[in-house]
Amino acid sequence: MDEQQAVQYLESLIGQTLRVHATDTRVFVGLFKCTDAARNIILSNTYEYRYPTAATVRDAALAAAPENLEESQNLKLNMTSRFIGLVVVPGQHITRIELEETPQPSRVRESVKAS
Amino acid sequence: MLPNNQGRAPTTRIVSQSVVPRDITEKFTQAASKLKTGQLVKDEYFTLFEAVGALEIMDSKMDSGYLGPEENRQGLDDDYDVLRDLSPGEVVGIMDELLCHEVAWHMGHPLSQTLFTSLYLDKLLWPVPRSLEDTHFGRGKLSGDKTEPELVHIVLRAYCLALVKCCDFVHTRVTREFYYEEEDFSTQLYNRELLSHIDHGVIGNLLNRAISWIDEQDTIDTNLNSAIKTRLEFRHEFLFSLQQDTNILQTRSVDRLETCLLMLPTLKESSHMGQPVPEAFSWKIQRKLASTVPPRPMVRISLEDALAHLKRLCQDGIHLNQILDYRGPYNLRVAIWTILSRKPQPSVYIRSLIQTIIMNKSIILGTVPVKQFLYDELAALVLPSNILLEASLDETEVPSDPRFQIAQYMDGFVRRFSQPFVDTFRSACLNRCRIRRTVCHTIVDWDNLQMEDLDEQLRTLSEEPPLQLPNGDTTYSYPLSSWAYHHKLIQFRLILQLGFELSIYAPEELPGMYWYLSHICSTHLGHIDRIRTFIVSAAQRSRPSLAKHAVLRKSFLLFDRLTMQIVAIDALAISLHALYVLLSRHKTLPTAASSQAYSNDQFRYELRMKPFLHITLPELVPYDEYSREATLQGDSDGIVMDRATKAIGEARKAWEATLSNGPFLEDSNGEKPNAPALEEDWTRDVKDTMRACIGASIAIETVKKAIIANRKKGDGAQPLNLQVTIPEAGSKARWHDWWAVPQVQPGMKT
Amino acid sequence: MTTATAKKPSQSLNYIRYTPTHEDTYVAAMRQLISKDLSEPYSIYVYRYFLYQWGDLCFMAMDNDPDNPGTERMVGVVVSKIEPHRGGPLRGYIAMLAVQEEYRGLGIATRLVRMAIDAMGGRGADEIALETEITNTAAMKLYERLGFLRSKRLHRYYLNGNSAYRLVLYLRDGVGSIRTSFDPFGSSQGELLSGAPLHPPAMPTVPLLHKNGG
Repeated sequence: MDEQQAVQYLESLIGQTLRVHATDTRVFVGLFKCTDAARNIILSNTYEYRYPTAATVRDAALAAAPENLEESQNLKLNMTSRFIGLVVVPGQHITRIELEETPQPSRVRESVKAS
Repeated sequence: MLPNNQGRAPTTRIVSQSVVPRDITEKFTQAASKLKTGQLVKDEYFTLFEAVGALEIMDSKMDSGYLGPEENRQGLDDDYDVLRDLSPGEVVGIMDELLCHEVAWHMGHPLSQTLFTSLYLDKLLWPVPRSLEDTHFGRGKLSGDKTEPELVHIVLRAYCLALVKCCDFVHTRVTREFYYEEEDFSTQLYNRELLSHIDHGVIGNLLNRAISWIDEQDTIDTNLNSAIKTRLEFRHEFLFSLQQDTNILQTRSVDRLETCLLMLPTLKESSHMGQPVPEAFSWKIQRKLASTVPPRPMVRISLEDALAHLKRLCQDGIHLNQILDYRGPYNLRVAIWTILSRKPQPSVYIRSLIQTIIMNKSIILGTVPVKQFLYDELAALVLPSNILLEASLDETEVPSDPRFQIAQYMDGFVRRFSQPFVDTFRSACLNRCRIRRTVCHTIVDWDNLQMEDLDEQLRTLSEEPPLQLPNGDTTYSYPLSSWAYHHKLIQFRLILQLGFELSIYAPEELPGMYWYLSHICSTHLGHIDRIRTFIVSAAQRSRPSLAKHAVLRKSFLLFDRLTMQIVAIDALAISLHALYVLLSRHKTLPTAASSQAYSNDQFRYELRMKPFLHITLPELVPYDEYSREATLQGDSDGIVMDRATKAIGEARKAWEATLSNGPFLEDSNGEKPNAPALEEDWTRDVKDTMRACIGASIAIETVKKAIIANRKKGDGAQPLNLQVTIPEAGSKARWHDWWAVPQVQPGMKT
Repeated sequence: MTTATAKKPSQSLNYIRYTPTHEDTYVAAMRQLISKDLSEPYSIYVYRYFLYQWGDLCFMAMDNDPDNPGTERMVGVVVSKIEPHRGGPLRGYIAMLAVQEEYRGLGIATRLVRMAIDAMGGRGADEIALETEITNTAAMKLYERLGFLRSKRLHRYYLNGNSAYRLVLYLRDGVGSIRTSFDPFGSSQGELLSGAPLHPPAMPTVPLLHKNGG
């Protein structure tokens, strides 16, 4: 990839929703606005997602199946989220970048039919 | 004036189920690495200016969700168990800490740094409770898992709920009125609610139940027991005081606030019994709040400060009762500006409440239609018993009838002027910095509104005869423009006086600014004379009836009152101007700018006159004239000293007279407001001004002596052997914020 | 005391204008210098906002680095910008000013501010403006000595709840009369009348605070 292709690629992402994972395991989901050579990413309308803490998981597990702790291993908890607006995620703290894509509507319908 | 817009964060992000994330880490990283240093790829509509507002993730100063290395293990959870047993002393401690946070919020600090640091409140308010049943500390735990101790469940819960409901009333009142976000108040709720849908009566019952429960406890130490009970009772009274809100217009009752006020000392006396529970408050909760601002530390104010603030809030709320009886616009203006000029300024809740009371749905004080209010003002000042105001009382509906046309024009006038006129009262409710900034804006509106052509049309319709001037020219009264001009001059004066109060002016500007203040005063005096002249001549023409005579007499009393006040201000300004000229001439006035400063006096004058540059009337004083006048060019020291001495004598007499006149005037029914508390404030203010006069006299004498001593020694060009300091506004040595009287002391040199 | 002696300022400091070629080192040094003094936190993009558009209005004071002989380290910096103010006068704005603690009281800040004002004047600035925390007497004195006047007081301007003064300096005559497209003193839609504040209330980092030691 040369510089022109690099710019073209990054520009194609502008305005799209990115999920940026940080070193402390939080995930930031927002609209991609800007980046630079050091991969400092600006997201707007960002939500912060955080994995539930061990204590919360334990409480929830107890609440769901107090008698049978083993069964509750499959329990899925939602990540807690909150709105934090416009942020910069510095490049050195990024562990993963994901692009949110919406499949073609036709394919969604197919998958619905299939299920 | 509409309520403030509120920028609220969206509650949830709507995510379509079908969204699929694709890992692009590698490609993104590779592409970014191809960019040069300083090269950005960005949305073309996204400016770098917007980027300035971005919070940097993983930076402890900006990222409210950041956990330091030592906190990471523990995560978001605080170890504190809200269901644990509390000793009675701990309950008192928590209640007092909550009260401090509540007051800090009243003072303008955000909930995230105050009340929302409480783990008890967090439990009650998040997730947002759907009903009262949701609001208990055992939420999210299994029922029967652990029983809540009664002191926590019955007492602390009731207290917390009532406190939140109190906040709801305050929040509702403030957000309905005009305020400045963050300056006056932080309205942000971080997607939580303050129990707005839960009735205060239900919460009142919970408090009553808690009070009865605590009464029945015989195992708790009596003193602690009564400390808890007082806190519950105070909360009950405070809740119902805030619930009363604008109902005071109907009830005229301030009993509840009076009870609160009486209870404050008891809260203070029993506070030592409280046992602090710092673990029950955590600023880490900020990490869970929807927030677009950087993390900020918990705000701590002392219980003493909190109670002092509450005391003022209660007192101001009680004294509000003294502005509610309508006794005409003049008296209302005095009352409003007096109560709102209290130092420290009344809290944002009181200021918002006063805004609503002044005018709500075009009704003043809940009883007077705004048109009547404006007409009362015009009748008192420029149109006593005048056809322009009477025309609208007629039932005339013949379009060709001049009275009908006059009524039409006057209605248009009312439409245009009611709001600006009412705003001259409501602006007193803003914070002091904003009052000055706002008046700098509204002054331009008043300049635009001063419509001579409307006066001319009305003059033709009312067949007003001209007034012959001594030089043979003729002129007309222009009553509506005259009235607007009167208000504009008041606003000029206010901008200058607030400039002194807010310490806007540098020491070297003081001679010029006091000259300008006196210039505005003398312009105003001339204007009032003009208004009076027209009213006298109209009265002479029409041979008024006895009833009209009484109305005219009232107007003349008002002119006398206004004249006396302006003379008093003018004289003190003249004497300070002369005093500062002497100090400046003898190089004894401290200066802020150095000799190597950029800019020059002319540019600085222009900057100072910025609010007035585009005003048509009064005309801007050209720099050369200002420079001559402000330095008293051509006047010898002797003349200037005389001027200072004479003026300060005049000032002292005029302020004496103002004091003995008192704050209020009889209204058209011969009634004065019954407002002893406000009268006391007003009197204190005038007496402070009189102290400033005495201070100025002393300074003038000291400077005179030093000048004469210098002259005797033959070194008239040398700086005076004096030490000059200008006390800061708000300091004890500054007798009055509006009067920067220098402290002049003989210097060290002999 | 030993560290203070070690960091003692050299006889002559080197005053230089910012150049983008050393962005990485300069910006890192600036951030360190400024973040020590400021209560308002700034992201990397705050620096970019100023330096990418007005790098020529940024000046730095450099001294020999005692830890790395032969190299220089930054001991003072001023960051500014210039733009038409609401479509009216060309307003220079001093955004940040910081001097390392042991270098204060030597006139470094004044020298830097003068360089910035001169550069803005050179680009045709009609006026210079800035905000300073009321309690920051050193900064107030510095600017007032240079001829700035307090034009208004801003209540609880900073995140820490402190108030500020806006300081303004006119560089030529007639500046006050220049009409702005949004004239703060010329609109009949005053703030009080229209209800909404003129600016979005919560712009976390826009109040650019100064601190320095003169």
